[in-house]
Amino acid sequence: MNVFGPNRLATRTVVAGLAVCTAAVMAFPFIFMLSVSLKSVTDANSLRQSILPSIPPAFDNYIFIWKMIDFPRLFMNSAMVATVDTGFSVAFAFVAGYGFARYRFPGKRIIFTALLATMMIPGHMNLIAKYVQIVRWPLVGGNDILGRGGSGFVDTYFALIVPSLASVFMVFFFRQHFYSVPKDLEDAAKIDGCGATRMLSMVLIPISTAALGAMTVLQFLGSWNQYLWPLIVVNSKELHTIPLGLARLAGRDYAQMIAPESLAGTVIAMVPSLALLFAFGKLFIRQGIAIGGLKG
Amino acid sequence: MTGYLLIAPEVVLFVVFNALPIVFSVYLGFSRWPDMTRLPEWAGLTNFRRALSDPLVRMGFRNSLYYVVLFVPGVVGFSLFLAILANAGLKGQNALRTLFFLPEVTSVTIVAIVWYYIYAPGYGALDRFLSTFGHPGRMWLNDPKTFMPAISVMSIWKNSGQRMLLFIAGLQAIPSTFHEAAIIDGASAWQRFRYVTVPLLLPVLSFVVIITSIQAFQVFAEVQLMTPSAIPDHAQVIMFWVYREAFRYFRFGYAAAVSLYLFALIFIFTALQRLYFGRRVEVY
Repeated sequence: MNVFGPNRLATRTVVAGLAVCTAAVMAFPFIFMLSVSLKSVTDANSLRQSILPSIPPAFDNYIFIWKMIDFPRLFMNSAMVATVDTGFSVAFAFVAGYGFARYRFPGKRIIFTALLATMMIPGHMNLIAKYVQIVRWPLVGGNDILGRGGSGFVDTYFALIVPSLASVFMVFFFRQHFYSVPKDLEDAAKIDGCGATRMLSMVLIPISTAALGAMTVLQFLGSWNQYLWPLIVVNSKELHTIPLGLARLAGRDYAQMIAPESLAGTVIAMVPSLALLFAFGKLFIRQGIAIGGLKG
Repeated sequence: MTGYLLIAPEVVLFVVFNALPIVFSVYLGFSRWPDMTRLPEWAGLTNFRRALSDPLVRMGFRNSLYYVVLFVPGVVGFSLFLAILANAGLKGQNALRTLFFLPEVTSVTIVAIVWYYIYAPGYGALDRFLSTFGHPGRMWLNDPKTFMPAISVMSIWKNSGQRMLLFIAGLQAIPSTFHEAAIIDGASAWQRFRYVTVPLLLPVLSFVVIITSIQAFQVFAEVQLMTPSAIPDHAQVIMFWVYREAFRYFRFGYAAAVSLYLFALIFIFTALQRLYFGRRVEVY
Protein backbone atom coordinates (compact mmCIF):
# COMPACT_ATOMS: atom_id res chain seq x y z
CA MET A 1 0.00 0.00 0.00
CA ASN A 2 1.59 3.12 -1.16
CA VAL A 3 1.20 5.97 1.24
CA PHE A 4 4.30 7.74 0.16
CA GLY A 5 3.97 10.64 -2.17
CA PRO A 6 6.78 12.58 -3.74
CA ASN A 7 9.87 12.90 -1.56
CA ARG A 8 9.75 9.19 -1.03
CA LEU A 9 12.96 9.03 0.90
CA ALA A 10 12.03 11.84 3.24
CA THR A 11 8.55 10.48 3.90
CA ARG A 12 9.87 6.99 4.31
CA THR A 13 12.40 8.11 6.86
CA VAL A 14 9.83 10.02 8.85
CA VAL A 15 7.45 7.12 8.85
CA ALA A 16 10.19 4.69 9.78
CA GLY A 17 11.28 6.95 12.60
CA LEU A 18 7.73 7.18 13.84
CA ALA A 19 7.40 3.44 13.66
CA VAL A 20 10.51 2.92 15.73
CA CYS A 21 9.37 5.39 18.37
CA THR A 22 5.92 3.86 18.54
CA ALA A 23 7.40 0.39 18.77
CA ALA A 24 9.54 1.53 21.67
CA VAL A 25 6.55 2.99 23.46
CA MET A 26 4.45 -0.10 22.87
CA ALA A 27 7.24 -2.39 23.97
CA PHE A 28 8.21 -0.37 27.00
CA PRO A 29 5.89 -1.96 29.55
CA PHE A 30 7.21 -5.39 28.58
CA ILE A 31 10.79 -4.28 28.83
CA PHE A 32 10.00 -2.65 32.14
CA MET A 33 8.40 -5.85 33.34
CA LEU A 34 11.41 -7.93 32.43
CA SER A 35 13.94 -5.50 33.77
CA VAL A 36 12.39 -4.90 37.16
CA SER A 37 11.68 -8.58 37.63
CA LEU A 38 15.40 -9.14 37.61
CA LYS A 39 16.23 -6.37 40.04
CA SER A 40 17.00 -6.86 43.66
CA VAL A 41 14.47 -5.33 45.99
CA THR A 42 16.73 -2.49 47.04
CA ASP A 43 17.52 -1.60 43.46
CA ALA A 44 13.85 -1.63 42.54
CA ASN A 45 12.90 0.79 45.27
CA SER A 46 15.67 3.24 44.74
CA LEU A 47 14.78 6.43 43.00
CA ARG A 48 17.67 6.31 40.64
CA GLN A 49 17.67 3.20 38.56
CA SER A 50 18.57 2.31 35.07
CA ILE A 51 16.64 0.24 32.64
CA LEU A 52 19.00 -2.65 33.17
CA PRO A 53 18.45 -5.34 35.72
CA SER A 54 20.70 -5.56 38.73
CA ILE A 55 24.01 -7.23 38.37
CA PRO A 56 23.85 -10.07 39.15
CA PRO A 57 20.25 -10.51 37.96
CA ALA A 58 17.97 -11.27 40.84
CA PHE A 59 16.59 -14.63 39.84
CA ASP A 60 15.53 -15.05 43.45
CA ASN A 61 12.44 -13.06 42.62
CA TYR A 62 11.32 -15.82 40.31
CA ILE A 63 11.97 -18.49 42.87
CA PHE A 64 10.07 -16.53 45.47
CA ILE A 65 7.03 -15.92 43.35
CA TRP A 66 7.03 -19.47 42.04
CA LYS A 67 6.79 -20.67 45.62
CA MET A 68 4.15 -18.16 46.53
CA ILE A 69 1.82 -18.79 43.62
CA ASP A 70 0.97 -22.25 42.43
CA PHE A 71 1.81 -21.64 38.79
CA PRO A 72 1.62 -25.24 37.66
CA ARG A 73 -1.94 -25.42 38.92
CA LEU A 74 -2.85 -22.09 37.33
CA PHE A 75 -1.38 -23.13 34.00
CA MET A 76 -3.12 -26.46 34.15
CA ASN A 77 -6.49 -24.94 34.90
CA SER A 78 -6.17 -22.30 32.24
CA ALA A 79 -4.93 -24.81 29.70
CA MET A 80 -7.68 -27.25 30.40
CA VAL A 81 -10.47 -24.74 30.37
CA ALA A 82 -9.18 -23.04 27.25
CA THR A 83 -8.60 -26.29 25.36
CA VAL A 84 -11.95 -27.83 26.13
CA ASP A 85 -13.76 -24.56 25.55
CA THR A 86 -12.02 -23.95 22.24
CA GLY A 87 -12.35 -27.52 21.03
CA PHE A 88 -16.07 -27.70 21.52
CA SER A 89 -17.06 -24.18 20.66
CA VAL A 90 -15.13 -24.10 17.39
CA ALA A 91 -16.48 -27.52 16.45
CA PHE A 92 -20.08 -26.60 17.20
CA ALA A 93 -19.80 -23.27 15.42
CA PHE A 94 -18.13 -24.81 12.38
CA VAL A 95 -20.82 -27.42 12.03
CA ALA A 96 -23.59 -24.92 12.62
CA GLY A 97 -22.07 -22.50 10.15
CA TYR A 98 -22.11 -25.25 7.56
CA GLY A 99 -25.72 -26.04 8.36
CA PHE A 100 -26.76 -22.43 7.95
CA ALA A 101 -24.75 -21.95 4.80
CA ARG A 102 -25.60 -25.04 2.81
CA TYR A 103 -28.85 -26.45 4.05
CA ARG A 104 -32.35 -25.23 3.70
CA PHE A 105 -34.93 -25.96 6.35
CA PRO A 106 -38.01 -24.22 7.68
CA GLY A 107 -37.34 -21.58 10.31
CA LYS A 108 -33.69 -21.23 9.35
CA ARG A 109 -33.89 -17.52 8.81
CA ILE A 110 -35.76 -16.90 12.04
CA ILE A 111 -33.29 -18.88 14.06
CA PHE A 112 -30.33 -17.15 12.49
CA THR A 113 -31.82 -13.72 12.97
CA ALA A 114 -32.48 -14.52 16.61
CA LEU A 115 -28.83 -15.52 17.00
CA LEU A 116 -27.68 -12.30 15.36
CA ALA A 117 -29.96 -10.19 17.49
CA THR A 118 -28.32 -11.37 20.65
CA MET A 119 -24.92 -10.42 19.31
CA MET A 120 -25.99 -6.86 19.80
CA ILE A 121 -26.88 -7.34 23.43
CA PRO A 122 -23.95 -6.38 25.62
CA GLY A 123 -22.45 -9.17 27.68
CA HIS A 124 -23.17 -7.70 31.06
CA MET A 125 -26.87 -8.27 30.62
CA ASN A 126 -26.42 -11.98 31.02
CA LEU A 127 -24.04 -12.07 33.90
CA ILE A 128 -26.45 -12.17 36.79
CA ALA A 129 -28.85 -14.57 35.15
CA LYS A 130 -26.06 -16.90 34.07
CA TYR A 131 -24.77 -16.96 37.60
CA VAL A 132 -28.18 -17.82 38.94
CA GLN A 133 -28.39 -20.58 36.36
CA ILE A 134 -25.10 -21.99 37.58
CA VAL A 135 -25.95 -21.77 41.25
CA ARG A 136 -29.48 -23.07 40.91
CA TRP A 137 -28.88 -25.87 38.42
CA PRO A 138 -31.15 -28.73 39.51
CA LEU A 139 -29.71 -31.88 40.93
CA VAL A 140 -26.12 -30.72 41.07
CA GLY A 141 -23.86 -29.62 43.88
CA GLY A 142 -26.37 -30.30 46.58
CA ASN A 143 -29.37 -28.88 44.80
CA ASP A 144 -32.75 -30.50 44.80
CA ILE A 145 -34.90 -30.80 41.72
CA LEU A 146 -35.86 -27.14 41.87
CA GLY A 147 -32.29 -26.10 42.26
CA ARG A 148 -32.49 -25.11 45.87
CA GLY A 149 -30.26 -25.84 48.77
CA GLY A 150 -26.79 -26.25 47.45
CA SER A 151 -24.34 -24.38 45.33
CA GLY A 152 -24.97 -25.98 41.98
CA PHE A 153 -22.16 -25.68 39.49
CA VAL A 154 -20.27 -23.00 41.34
CA ASP A 155 -16.57 -23.83 41.60
CA THR A 156 -16.65 -26.38 38.83
CA TYR A 157 -14.98 -26.66 35.47
CA PHE A 158 -18.43 -26.91 33.97
CA ALA A 159 -19.18 -23.37 35.04
CA LEU A 160 -15.93 -22.12 33.60
CA ILE A 161 -16.33 -23.81 30.25
CA VAL A 162 -19.89 -24.45 29.23
CA PRO A 163 -21.64 -21.08 29.40
CA SER A 164 -19.23 -19.53 26.94
CA LEU A 165 -19.45 -22.32 24.39
CA ALA A 166 -22.11 -20.79 22.19
CA SER A 167 -20.37 -18.22 20.06
CA VAL A 168 -22.66 -16.46 17.65
CA PHE A 169 -19.77 -14.56 16.16
CA MET A 170 -18.04 -17.78 15.16
CA VAL A 171 -21.21 -19.19 13.63
CA PHE A 172 -21.53 -16.02 11.59
CA PHE A 173 -17.88 -16.16 10.60
CA PHE A 174 -18.01 -19.78 9.51
CA ARG A 175 -21.20 -19.20 7.58
CA GLN A 176 -19.47 -16.41 5.68
CA HIS A 177 -16.53 -18.70 5.16
CA PHE A 178 -18.67 -21.44 3.64
CA TYR A 179 -20.35 -18.92 1.38
CA SER A 180 -16.98 -18.19 -0.10
CA VAL A 181 -16.10 -21.85 -0.64
CA PRO A 182 -17.07 -23.03 -4.14
CA LYS A 183 -19.66 -25.73 -4.09
CA ASP A 184 -17.97 -27.85 -6.71
CA LEU A 185 -16.03 -29.92 -4.24
CA GLU A 186 -19.13 -30.66 -2.22
CA ASP A 187 -21.20 -31.47 -5.28
CA ALA A 188 -18.55 -33.90 -6.46
CA ALA A 189 -18.44 -35.51 -3.07
CA LYS A 190 -22.21 -35.79 -2.95
CA ILE A 191 -22.22 -37.61 -6.25
CA ASP A 192 -19.85 -40.08 -4.68
CA GLY A 193 -22.40 -40.57 -1.96
CA CYS A 194 -20.93 -38.47 0.77
CA GLY A 195 -23.10 -37.78 3.79
CA ALA A 196 -22.75 -34.78 6.06
CA THR A 197 -20.28 -36.35 8.46
CA ARG A 198 -17.92 -37.50 5.77
CA MET A 199 -18.36 -34.22 3.96
CA LEU A 200 -17.28 -32.27 6.97
CA SER A 201 -14.40 -34.41 8.00
CA MET A 202 -12.96 -35.39 4.63
CA VAL A 203 -13.78 -32.42 2.48
CA LEU A 204 -14.53 -29.27 4.43
CA ILE A 205 -12.13 -29.38 7.30
CA PRO A 206 -9.07 -29.83 5.14
CA ILE A 207 -9.94 -26.84 3.01
CA SER A 208 -10.93 -24.66 5.94
CA THR A 209 -7.72 -24.90 7.90
CA ALA A 210 -6.98 -21.18 7.76
CA ALA A 211 -10.41 -20.16 9.02
CA LEU A 212 -10.42 -22.91 11.61
CA GLY A 213 -6.94 -22.02 12.73
CA ALA A 214 -7.73 -18.36 13.18
CA MET A 215 -10.93 -19.01 15.11
CA THR A 216 -9.20 -21.57 17.28
CA VAL A 217 -6.45 -19.19 18.26
CA LEU A 218 -8.91 -16.37 18.83
CA GLN A 219 -11.19 -18.47 20.99
CA PHE A 220 -8.30 -20.00 22.88
CA LEU A 221 -6.83 -16.62 23.74
CA GLY A 222 -10.22 -15.26 24.70
CA SER A 223 -10.85 -18.15 27.00
CA TRP A 224 -7.34 -18.04 28.42
CA ASN A 225 -7.60 -14.38 29.34
CA GLN A 226 -11.13 -14.35 30.72
CA TYR A 227 -11.40 -12.52 34.00
CA LEU A 228 -14.86 -11.39 35.01
CA TRP A 229 -16.81 -14.58 34.50
CA PRO A 230 -14.31 -16.84 36.31
CA LEU A 231 -14.19 -14.25 39.07
CA ILE A 232 -17.92 -14.70 39.54
CA VAL A 233 -18.25 -18.46 39.38
CA VAL A 234 -15.06 -19.60 41.06
CA ASN A 235 -14.21 -19.13 44.68
CA SER A 236 -11.77 -21.85 45.54
CA LYS A 237 -8.12 -21.44 44.75
CA GLU A 238 -7.97 -24.90 43.25
CA LEU A 239 -9.83 -23.74 40.19
CA HIS A 240 -8.16 -20.43 39.63
CA THR A 241 -7.10 -19.70 36.11
CA ILE A 242 -4.12 -17.50 35.45
CA PRO A 243 -5.94 -14.17 35.47
CA LEU A 244 -7.57 -15.03 38.76
CA GLY A 245 -4.45 -16.43 40.35
CA LEU A 246 -2.46 -13.34 39.49
CA ALA A 247 -5.17 -10.97 40.62
CA ARG A 248 -3.88 -11.35 44.11
CA LEU A 249 -0.80 -9.48 43.03
CA ALA A 250 -2.78 -6.69 41.47
CA GLY A 251 -4.13 -3.39 42.79
CA ARG A 252 -5.86 -5.05 45.64
CA ASP A 253 -3.63 -4.78 48.64
CA TYR A 254 -0.43 -3.58 47.33
CA ALA A 255 1.34 -2.70 50.49
CA GLN A 256 2.35 -6.29 50.90
CA MET A 257 3.53 -6.92 47.42
CA ILE A 258 6.85 -6.02 46.05
CA ALA A 259 7.52 -4.92 42.51
CA PRO A 260 10.26 -7.27 41.37
CA GLU A 261 8.53 -10.32 42.69
CA SER A 262 5.11 -9.45 41.32
CA LEU A 263 6.62 -8.63 37.98
CA ALA A 264 8.52 -11.88 37.96
CA GLY A 265 5.12 -13.47 38.35
CA THR A 266 3.79 -11.63 35.35
CA VAL A 267 6.75 -12.65 33.23
CA ILE A 268 6.12 -16.28 34.07
CA ALA A 269 2.43 -15.89 33.32
CA MET A 270 3.15 -14.26 29.98
CA VAL A 271 5.13 -17.16 28.61
CA PRO A 272 2.16 -19.12 27.21
CA SER A 273 0.62 -16.06 25.54
CA LEU A 274 3.96 -15.17 24.02
CA ALA A 275 4.50 -18.69 22.82
CA LEU A 276 1.10 -18.76 21.18
CA LEU A 277 1.58 -15.45 19.51
CA PHE A 278 4.96 -16.33 18.09
CA ALA A 279 3.79 -19.73 16.95
CA PHE A 280 0.52 -18.71 15.38
CA GLY A 281 0.87 -14.98 15.12
CA LYS A 282 1.18 -14.69 11.38
CA LEU A 283 -1.80 -16.90 10.65
CA PHE A 284 -3.84 -15.10 13.19
CA ILE A 285 -2.94 -11.60 12.14
CA ARG A 286 -3.53 -12.40 8.53
CA GLN A 287 -6.96 -13.81 9.32
CA GLY A 288 -7.72 -11.01 11.70
CA ILE A 289 -7.22 -8.65 8.82
CA ALA A 290 -9.44 -10.82 6.67
CA ILE A 291 -12.17 -10.65 9.30
CA GLY A 292 -11.76 -6.95 9.28
CA GLY A 293 -12.37 -7.04 5.58
CA LEU A 294 -15.74 -8.63 6.22
CA LYS A 295 -16.82 -5.81 8.45
CA GLY A 296 -16.16 -3.10 5.95
CA MET B 1 -33.41 -33.05 8.45
CA THR B 2 -29.67 -32.89 8.57
CA GLY B 3 -29.77 -29.14 8.69
CA TYR B 4 -31.39 -29.19 12.09
CA LEU B 5 -28.93 -31.73 13.39
CA LEU B 6 -26.01 -29.63 12.28
CA ILE B 7 -27.13 -26.51 14.02
CA ALA B 8 -28.58 -28.32 17.03
CA PRO B 9 -25.65 -28.29 19.47
CA GLU B 10 -25.01 -24.63 18.85
CA VAL B 11 -28.64 -23.61 19.08
CA VAL B 12 -29.28 -25.64 22.21
CA LEU B 13 -26.30 -24.07 23.93
CA PHE B 14 -27.40 -20.71 22.69
CA VAL B 15 -30.93 -21.04 24.00
CA VAL B 16 -29.85 -22.33 27.39
CA PHE B 17 -26.94 -20.00 28.01
CA ASN B 18 -27.72 -16.92 25.95
CA ALA B 19 -31.41 -16.55 25.23
CA LEU B 20 -32.78 -17.82 28.52
CA PRO B 21 -30.51 -15.66 30.68
CA ILE B 22 -31.49 -12.58 28.74
CA VAL B 23 -35.16 -13.20 29.35
CA PHE B 24 -34.50 -14.04 32.97
CA SER B 25 -32.42 -10.89 33.41
CA VAL B 26 -35.31 -8.77 32.28
CA TYR B 27 -37.61 -10.60 34.63
CA LEU B 28 -35.20 -10.15 37.52
CA GLY B 29 -35.17 -6.42 36.99
CA PHE B 30 -38.85 -6.37 37.88
CA SER B 31 -38.50 -8.59 40.92
CA ARG B 32 -37.08 -8.80 44.39
CA TRP B 33 -35.30 -11.88 45.56
CA PRO B 34 -34.40 -11.54 49.20
CA ASP B 35 -34.59 -15.21 49.94
CA MET B 36 -32.91 -17.42 47.40
CA THR B 37 -34.59 -20.52 48.70
CA ARG B 38 -37.85 -19.18 47.33
CA LEU B 39 -38.84 -17.85 43.98
CA PRO B 40 -38.33 -14.18 43.24
CA GLU B 41 -41.26 -11.90 44.04
CA TRP B 42 -42.71 -9.43 41.63
CA ALA B 43 -41.76 -5.88 42.46
CA GLY B 44 -42.93 -3.90 39.50
CA LEU B 45 -40.98 -0.72 38.95
CA THR B 46 -39.58 -0.47 42.48
CA ASN B 47 -36.03 -1.28 41.49
CA PHE B 48 -36.07 1.12 38.59
CA ARG B 49 -37.42 3.98 40.66
CA ARG B 50 -34.96 3.34 43.44
CA ALA B 51 -32.02 3.32 41.06
CA LEU B 52 -32.91 6.75 39.73
CA SER B 53 -32.34 8.35 43.10
CA ASP B 54 -29.46 6.16 44.26
CA PRO B 55 -26.30 8.30 44.45
CA LEU B 56 -24.03 5.28 44.11
CA VAL B 57 -25.73 4.29 40.88
CA ARG B 58 -25.42 7.79 39.54
CA MET B 59 -21.78 7.89 40.49
CA GLY B 60 -21.23 4.58 38.78
CA PHE B 61 -22.70 5.81 35.53
CA ARG B 62 -20.71 9.02 35.76
CA ASN B 63 -17.46 7.16 36.17
CA SER B 64 -18.19 4.76 33.35
CA LEU B 65 -19.20 7.60 31.07
CA TYR B 66 -15.98 9.39 31.90
CA TYR B 67 -14.05 6.30 30.90
CA VAL B 68 -16.01 5.99 27.66
CA VAL B 69 -15.31 9.58 26.71
CA LEU B 70 -11.59 9.15 27.34
CA PHE B 71 -11.12 5.65 26.04
CA VAL B 72 -13.15 5.45 22.84
CA PRO B 73 -11.64 8.35 20.92
CA GLY B 74 -8.21 7.46 22.28
CA VAL B 75 -8.23 3.84 21.28
CA VAL B 76 -9.84 4.45 17.91
CA GLY B 77 -7.35 7.17 17.07
CA PHE B 78 -4.37 5.29 18.36
CA SER B 79 -5.20 2.02 16.67
CA LEU B 80 -5.78 3.86 13.40
CA PHE B 81 -2.38 5.43 13.85
CA LEU B 82 -0.85 2.00 14.50
CA ALA B 83 -2.63 0.59 11.48
CA ILE B 84 -1.24 3.25 9.19
CA LEU B 85 2.25 2.67 10.51
CA ALA B 86 1.93 -1.08 10.26
CA ASN B 87 0.57 -0.92 6.75
CA ALA B 88 3.05 1.46 5.22
CA GLY B 89 5.17 -1.23 3.69
CA LEU B 90 8.17 -0.74 5.91
CA LYS B 91 10.63 -3.49 6.44
CA GLY B 92 9.85 -5.79 9.33
CA GLN B 93 6.19 -4.95 9.04
CA ASN B 94 5.09 -8.34 10.26
CA ALA B 95 7.21 -8.02 13.36
CA LEU B 96 5.76 -4.59 13.93
CA ARG B 97 2.22 -5.87 13.67
CA THR B 98 3.00 -8.71 16.05
CA LEU B 99 4.50 -6.32 18.56
CA PHE B 100 1.53 -3.98 18.35
CA PHE B 101 -0.73 -6.93 18.87
CA LEU B 102 1.11 -8.32 21.88
CA PRO B 103 -0.67 -6.28 24.56
CA GLU B 104 -4.00 -7.50 23.22
CA VAL B 105 -3.15 -11.13 23.91
CA THR B 106 -1.74 -10.37 27.34
CA SER B 107 -4.07 -11.08 30.19
CA VAL B 108 -5.62 -7.99 31.72
CA THR B 109 -4.32 -9.02 35.12
CA ILE B 110 -0.76 -8.98 33.87
CA VAL B 111 -1.30 -5.61 32.24
CA ALA B 112 -2.76 -4.20 35.44
CA ILE B 113 0.16 -5.34 37.55
CA VAL B 114 2.77 -3.94 35.22
CA TRP B 115 1.01 -0.62 34.78
CA TYR B 116 0.47 -0.34 38.49
CA TYR B 117 4.19 -0.31 38.88
CA ILE B 118 4.52 2.16 36.07
CA TYR B 119 2.14 4.49 37.85
CA ALA B 120 3.44 3.81 41.36
CA PRO B 121 4.31 7.01 43.18
CA GLY B 122 8.00 7.64 43.61
CA TYR B 123 9.68 4.52 42.34
CA GLY B 124 7.27 3.88 39.47
CA ALA B 125 8.53 4.20 35.92
CA LEU B 126 6.46 7.25 35.08
CA ASP B 127 7.49 9.21 38.14
CA ARG B 128 11.14 8.33 37.64
CA PHE B 129 10.92 9.39 34.03
CA LEU B 130 9.36 12.69 34.99
CA SER B 131 11.91 13.28 37.73
CA THR B 132 14.71 13.31 35.20
CA PHE B 133 13.06 16.44 33.86
CA GLY B 134 12.52 17.83 37.29
CA HIS B 135 8.80 17.20 37.27
CA PRO B 136 7.30 16.11 40.54
CA GLY B 137 5.50 12.84 40.43
CA ARG B 138 1.87 12.39 41.31
CA MET B 139 -0.34 9.85 42.90
CA TRP B 140 -1.66 8.88 39.52
CA LEU B 141 -3.97 6.21 40.76
CA ASN B 142 -5.06 7.82 43.99
CA ASP B 143 -5.84 11.26 42.68
CA PRO B 144 -9.40 11.44 41.36
CA LYS B 145 -8.29 13.86 38.70
CA THR B 146 -5.72 11.58 37.17
CA PHE B 147 -7.16 8.15 37.88
CA MET B 148 -9.43 7.70 34.90
CA PRO B 149 -7.01 9.23 32.41
CA ALA B 150 -4.30 6.92 33.73
CA ILE B 151 -6.55 3.89 33.40
CA SER B 152 -7.55 4.98 29.92
CA VAL B 153 -3.96 5.19 28.77
CA MET B 154 -3.28 1.70 30.03
CA SER B 155 -6.46 0.45 28.41
CA ILE B 156 -5.68 2.09 25.10
CA TRP B 157 -2.25 0.46 25.12
CA LYS B 158 -3.78 -2.92 25.79
CA ASN B 159 -6.75 -2.79 23.47
CA SER B 160 -5.42 -1.24 20.30
CA GLY B 161 -4.22 -4.43 18.69
CA GLN B 162 -7.50 -5.88 17.57
CA ARG B 163 -8.79 -2.58 16.26
CA MET B 164 -5.53 -2.06 14.45
CA LEU B 165 -6.17 -5.25 12.51
CA LEU B 166 -9.63 -4.09 11.52
CA PHE B 167 -8.22 -0.79 10.35
CA ILE B 168 -5.47 -2.48 8.38
CA ALA B 169 -8.16 -4.42 6.57
CA GLY B 170 -10.02 -1.21 5.93
CA LEU B 171 -6.90 0.56 4.68
CA GLN B 172 -6.08 -2.27 2.35
CA ALA B 173 -9.54 -2.11 0.90
CA ILE B 174 -8.94 1.39 -0.39
CA PRO B 175 -7.82 1.13 -3.98
CA SER B 176 -4.43 2.71 -4.43
CA THR B 177 -5.73 4.53 -7.47
CA PHE B 178 -7.45 6.98 -5.18
CA HIS B 179 -4.23 7.75 -3.38
CA GLU B 180 -2.27 8.02 -6.58
CA ALA B 181 -4.80 10.37 -8.08
CA ALA B 182 -4.60 12.56 -5.01
CA ILE B 183 -0.81 12.60 -5.16
CA ILE B 184 -0.91 13.62 -8.79
CA ASP B 185 -3.22 16.43 -7.86
CA GLY B 186 -0.60 17.61 -5.42
CA ALA B 187 -2.27 16.63 -2.15
CA SER B 188 -0.10 16.54 0.94
CA ALA B 189 -0.05 13.48 3.17
CA TRP B 190 -2.43 15.10 5.61
CA GLN B 191 -4.80 16.15 2.86
CA ARG B 192 -4.77 12.66 1.47
CA PHE B 193 -5.57 11.31 4.88
CA ARG B 194 -8.42 13.69 5.39
CA TYR B 195 -10.05 13.56 2.00
CA VAL B 196 -9.25 10.06 0.74
CA THR B 197 -8.50 7.72 3.62
CA VAL B 198 -10.99 8.81 6.23
CA PRO B 199 -14.09 8.97 4.01
CA LEU B 200 -13.33 5.58 2.50
CA LEU B 201 -12.60 4.15 5.93
CA LEU B 202 -15.90 5.32 7.32
CA PRO B 203 -17.70 1.93 7.34
CA VAL B 204 -14.90 0.32 9.32
CA LEU B 205 -14.47 3.42 11.45
CA SER B 206 -18.12 3.55 12.41
CA PHE B 207 -18.16 -0.13 13.17
CA VAL B 208 -15.11 0.15 15.40
CA VAL B 209 -16.45 3.20 17.23
CA ILE B 210 -19.75 1.51 17.91
CA ILE B 211 -18.43 -1.79 19.20
CA THR B 212 -15.74 -0.04 21.19
CA SER B 213 -18.33 2.13 22.89
CA ILE B 214 -20.43 -0.89 23.73
CA GLN B 215 -17.42 -2.56 25.33
CA ALA B 216 -16.24 0.60 27.05
CA PHE B 217 -19.49 1.10 28.93
CA GLN B 218 -18.98 -2.31 30.47
CA VAL B 219 -15.45 -1.69 31.71
CA PHE B 220 -14.67 -3.65 34.83
CA ALA B 221 -11.38 -5.49 35.03
CA GLU B 222 -9.09 -2.62 34.06
CA VAL B 223 -10.50 -0.53 36.84
CA GLN B 224 -11.04 -3.12 39.54
CA LEU B 225 -7.54 -4.52 39.23
CA MET B 226 -5.90 -1.15 39.66
CA THR B 227 -7.54 -0.26 42.92
CA PRO B 228 -7.27 -1.64 46.44
CA SER B 229 -10.11 -3.62 47.96
CA ALA B 230 -11.67 -0.54 49.46
CA ILE B 231 -12.48 0.95 46.10
CA PRO B 232 -12.47 4.73 46.19
CA ASP B 233 -15.38 6.69 44.75
CA HIS B 234 -13.65 7.83 41.62
CA ALA B 235 -12.97 4.25 40.60
CA GLN B 236 -16.44 2.86 40.97
CA VAL B 237 -17.61 2.24 37.47
CA ILE B 238 -21.14 1.00 36.97
CA MET B 239 -20.12 -2.58 36.20
CA PHE B 240 -18.34 -2.68 39.50
CA TRP B 241 -21.49 -1.49 41.19
CA VAL B 242 -23.48 -4.24 39.48
CA TYR B 243 -20.87 -6.81 40.40
CA ARG B 244 -20.87 -5.86 44.03
CA GLU B 245 -24.63 -5.49 44.30
CA ALA B 246 -25.28 -8.87 42.69
CA PHE B 247 -22.42 -11.03 43.89
CA ARG B 248 -21.52 -9.54 47.24
CA TYR B 249 -24.86 -8.32 48.54
CA PHE B 250 -26.93 -10.77 46.50
CA ARG B 251 -29.45 -8.10 45.60
CA PHE B 252 -30.10 -9.66 42.23
CA GLY B 253 -33.28 -7.82 41.38
CA TYR B 254 -31.85 -4.39 42.01
CA ALA B 255 -28.63 -5.20 40.18
CA ALA B 256 -30.55 -6.58 37.23
CA ALA B 257 -32.63 -3.42 37.00
CA VAL B 258 -29.52 -1.27 36.84
CA SER B 259 -28.11 -3.63 34.22
CA LEU B 260 -31.18 -2.91 32.17
CA TYR B 261 -30.59 0.79 32.58
CA LEU B 262 -27.04 0.26 31.34
CA PHE B 263 -28.36 -1.69 28.37
CA ALA B 264 -30.78 1.12 27.58
CA LEU B 265 -27.96 3.64 27.81
CA ILE B 266 -25.77 1.62 25.48
CA PHE B 267 -28.64 1.13 23.09
CA ILE B 268 -29.42 4.83 22.90
CA PHE B 269 -25.76 5.72 22.54
CA THR B 270 -25.34 3.20 19.74
CA ALA B 271 -28.47 4.39 17.98
CA LEU B 272 -27.23 7.96 18.08
CA GLN B 273 -23.88 6.89 16.70
CA ARG B 274 -25.54 4.99 13.88
CA LEU B 275 -27.55 8.06 13.07
CA TYR B 276 -24.43 10.20 13.03
CA PHE B 277 -22.46 7.84 10.86
CA GLY B 278 -25.39 6.86 8.71
CA ARG B 279 -25.52 10.24 7.11
CA ARG B 280 -21.92 10.16 6.09
CA VAL B 281 -21.11 6.65 5.02
CA GLU B 282 -20.38 6.61 1.35
CA VAL B 283 -20.99 3.50 -0.63
CA TYR B 284 -18.89 3.02 -3.70
